[in-house]
Amino acid sequence: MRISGRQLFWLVFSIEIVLTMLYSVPAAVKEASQDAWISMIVAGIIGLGFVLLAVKLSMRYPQQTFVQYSQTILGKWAGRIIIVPYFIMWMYLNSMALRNSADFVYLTLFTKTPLYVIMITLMILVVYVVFTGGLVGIARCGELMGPIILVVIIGTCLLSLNHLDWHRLTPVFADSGWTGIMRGTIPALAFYGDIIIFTMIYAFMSKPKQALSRTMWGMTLSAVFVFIATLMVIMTFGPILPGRMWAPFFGMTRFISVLGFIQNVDILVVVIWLFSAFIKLSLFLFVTVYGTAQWLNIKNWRRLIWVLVPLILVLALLPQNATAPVKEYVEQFWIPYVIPINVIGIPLLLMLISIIRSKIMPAKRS
Amino acid sequence: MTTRFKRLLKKAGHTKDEIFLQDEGLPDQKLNTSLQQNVSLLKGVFQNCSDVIFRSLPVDGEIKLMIIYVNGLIDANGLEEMLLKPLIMAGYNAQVDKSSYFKEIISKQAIAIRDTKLVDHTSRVVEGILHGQIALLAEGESEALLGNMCQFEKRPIGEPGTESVVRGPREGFTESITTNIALIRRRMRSPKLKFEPTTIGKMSQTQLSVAYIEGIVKPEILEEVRKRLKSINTDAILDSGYIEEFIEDSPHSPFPSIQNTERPDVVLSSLLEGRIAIMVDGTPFVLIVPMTLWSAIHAAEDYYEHFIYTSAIRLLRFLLLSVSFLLPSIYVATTTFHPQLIPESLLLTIAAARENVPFPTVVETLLMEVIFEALREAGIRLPKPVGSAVSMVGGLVLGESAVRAGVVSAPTVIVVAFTGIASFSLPRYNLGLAFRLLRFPLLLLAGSLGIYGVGFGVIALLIHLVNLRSFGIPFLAPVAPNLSGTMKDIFIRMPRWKMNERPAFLVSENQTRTPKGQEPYKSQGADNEDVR
Repeated sequence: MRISGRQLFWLVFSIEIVLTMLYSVPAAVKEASQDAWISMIVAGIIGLGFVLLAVKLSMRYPQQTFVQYSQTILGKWAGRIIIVPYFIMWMYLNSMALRNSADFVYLTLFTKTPLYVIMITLMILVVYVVFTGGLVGIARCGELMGPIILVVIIGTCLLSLNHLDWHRLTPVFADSGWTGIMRGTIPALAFYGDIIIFTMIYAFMSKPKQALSRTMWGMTLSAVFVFIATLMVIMTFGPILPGRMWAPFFGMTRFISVLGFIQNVDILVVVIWLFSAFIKLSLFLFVTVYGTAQWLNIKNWRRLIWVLVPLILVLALLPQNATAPVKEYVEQFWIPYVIPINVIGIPLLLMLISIIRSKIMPAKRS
Repeated sequence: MTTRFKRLLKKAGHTKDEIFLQDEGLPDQKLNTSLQQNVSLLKGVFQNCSDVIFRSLPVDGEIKLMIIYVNGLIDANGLEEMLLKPLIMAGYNAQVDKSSYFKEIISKQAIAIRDTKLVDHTSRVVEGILHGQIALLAEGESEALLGNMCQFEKRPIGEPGTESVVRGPREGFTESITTNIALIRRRMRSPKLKFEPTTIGKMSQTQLSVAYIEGIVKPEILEEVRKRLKSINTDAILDSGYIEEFIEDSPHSPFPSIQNTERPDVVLSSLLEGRIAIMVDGTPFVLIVPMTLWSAIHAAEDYYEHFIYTSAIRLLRFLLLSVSFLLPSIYVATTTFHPQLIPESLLLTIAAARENVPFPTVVETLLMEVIFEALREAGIRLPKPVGSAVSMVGGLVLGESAVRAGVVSAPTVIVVAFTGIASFSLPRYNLGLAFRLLRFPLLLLAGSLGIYGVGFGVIALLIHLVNLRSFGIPFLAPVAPNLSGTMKDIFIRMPRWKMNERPAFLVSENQTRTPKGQEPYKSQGADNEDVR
């Protein structure tokens, strides 16, 4: 299994963009009102910091996945224990991404179809690609779907241009101030934190040197579009309404009307969203299954699919309503625990120990 | 379990071998000096084969020379003029010592045939005769002379039926492999173009030829082709389709992993891109490996017409490819589940047309699709004189009357008709078949889950396509995996002077095809002024 730099770029892009664009905007607008776009710029820059940390750490051991090099750095037992929070994170990410995607499809397209039907059909696709294609299959799907996602996002942005009102952005900085703006970055950062799962992917790069630039470009492109989406949402709905909406960017596409003929393109957005959700879910499932197999020393990683997928399905059915996975869970679990521990804390710790060890070792040898 | 299965397979293969050997039952022994013994042996082999002719030349009442051939497989005129006449004349010449003369003819190969050889085994003689050679056996000679006078009735070279062009060469392959090889060789006068012969089919002994260009083809792909061909073990090969089924990569996929063509120019342009052609005697369809999905939107004419026009047509074909697969299901999904997606005025028209139709849209569309497929199938199978009746019944009765009677709605008929036309516009018939087949399950998905079902089907199809390979080359290459620098001839076609390199994923070395800097205007160095 080897993936190219271009495939990595499209994977990063399709995973980071759609969910962030849809769900981080309302929370950001609530905190920073019309200055939410500044929050998004800051969040993008911090997101690039996450990328730098994840890539720099992985590139110290370009042939190893996160599970492997954490054992190289900390030794066999400590290295294994440190994977526990990551395993929890993977399972959480998998089930919540599944729930998010299914909820979105359910709320936009269905009324009577039970939610679990959508979840199971989605999972069938995901298992199909992970089982038959592995990472290569996912990467090639990403390569095909990524450009389509990009084109549709650009298209919906262009078609919405006529609703925009620049005056809704004013006054800049006066209403929220730095604290509001900084608080507005958190929801987007929660989504950008997903980048940490790529520490499991870099080991499969055919040219590891491309890892940093391609991930950076993928992240930058996502951040730019999230920024544009935030701007457009504020210019369409003003500073107050988006904070109360469930997915304002999606709501915005409902206003599109060209020549009275191209209308209600929101369903196309749902299909594109399906593409993105599919890539995201399959990459998460692959990382979870492969990482768990390496963690528990299981040779045939594909077998774990049949154990973990039912678990993920059950976990995904737990939240009571559609807002919980994007709001309460993020606020109570993801932001206070996962971001500081899994995304920043442990990687920094590993980096530090690794640097110290590499400095001490040659000294000992001489 | 798998090991047990393998063992069973092995066993089955073993017994198969034995059956074949018994079936052949050819006496394989050396010829002896007695003509009579040899002839009776051969007559035993060819018992009840009325097409095998034994022509004897008696001298003084005793048979001294025997000519054996298959009637209809050899050049009868040539036989009479070049062989029988001189031999009989010599027979009446008193100065010739007949018995030694006939022996000499054979041992010195002194007959006026261009391609001769001496053999000393009966099995070789039998094989030679069945391949359209003339066998000469003489009294007192333990070797037989085989002369190649193979000639049989064949179709003249005509325009290929499946891939016609407006502009471009009109020659198509015929059923004779010799003619086909000559058609290719005539366009490519380089010793680098190789034709490797093999024979497959225990009974049919069908001749195959693996064509490739040395130095361009990737050795590992060529080796894979040889290996797969060698492993075929069957009684007869009647068409290249037999070979295709034995050597394709994913036999359970509806998608073909081997391209076929009737056009020599298509074969050559594929060879020049590093592909390999497998030619089979007895069929005009030549196999080309490896194949990619994108050949579905590439026609031979693309390279003969202007590149801007070609690029536009390719985009149209890509659209038609999607239409042939997606249109009925999108129609069903939107009209049944998401009518808000359709612009109001159009929606009103559709709703008005569907008012009296008793079926749900999905059933109605399925019904019409099945009727369309039936018409298509009948159109191919029916005897020609009945053809007009079918088009009358199909077009008028089924289309017009069904709509007027209110059994089906006009929009459905339009959708189904357009889908059908779109599926026939693809240059590769076998790929069109796959998409045509897959639109039925997609239709059911659309009928049950709406546009989400369509998305489900499309993603599942993409996963399947992404996993497919053809002789080690990904089926969607060079798009996924994206191989930069090879996109000049996929969705659009760049002009010849821009396509400087062969597709890197197919070619071993010798990548440059057209040296750079041949853009007409630039290379002529003209300045931008009219001639005065």
